[in-house]
Amino acid sequence: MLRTILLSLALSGSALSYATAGGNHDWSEPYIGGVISYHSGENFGRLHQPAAPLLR
Amino acid sequence: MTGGYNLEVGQNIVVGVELDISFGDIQSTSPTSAAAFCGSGCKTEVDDFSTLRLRGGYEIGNTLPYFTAGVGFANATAAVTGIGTLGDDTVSGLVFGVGVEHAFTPKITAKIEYLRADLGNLQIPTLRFFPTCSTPVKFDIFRAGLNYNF
Repeated sequence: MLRTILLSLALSGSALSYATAGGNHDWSEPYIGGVISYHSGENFGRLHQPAAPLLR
Repeated sequence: MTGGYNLEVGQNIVVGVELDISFGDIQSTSPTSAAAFCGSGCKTEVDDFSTLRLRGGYEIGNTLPYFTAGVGFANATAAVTGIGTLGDDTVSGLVFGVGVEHAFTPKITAKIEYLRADLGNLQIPTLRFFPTCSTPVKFDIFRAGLNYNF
């Protein structure tokens, strides 16, 4: 348990120091990842039907 | 899931290409509608949404604000309660947005992103003497994600 906490703190400290070093990250790399998404639709799901020919 | 490749061009300018595939349902229900037969509720559902986009950003330290635009594809269905599925098709269109990505380690980056998807209209066949119905497939996407750089 203590080992896990210390490892977590070490990783967090490493990330923080990298984040605040002010140096430029090398972005020229391929990457893979995952996302969580929230979707919101405007008029999404609303069917539209023009007037029937006889009613035009 | 998402994947891509970035390239630094010039000072602080980063461009890249990104492909992502989303599994899951995006649903919306309309209790009222312009369509006469939709009084009991229409439902549109999108699944297997994917995009292929270009990204362009300006690096500020380890942070990369960026613009992105490309094409999106999705399987969309439209159904009416009590009647069943009326339309089922693949739709495609423009996807664009903005985001910010930050590098927490040389290998791990995190991002938040807003995308607007305009995938046109899903055409829905109706009775013989009535014009075809359609429903717009347009929605906003808010994302948070983690990337691993090789």
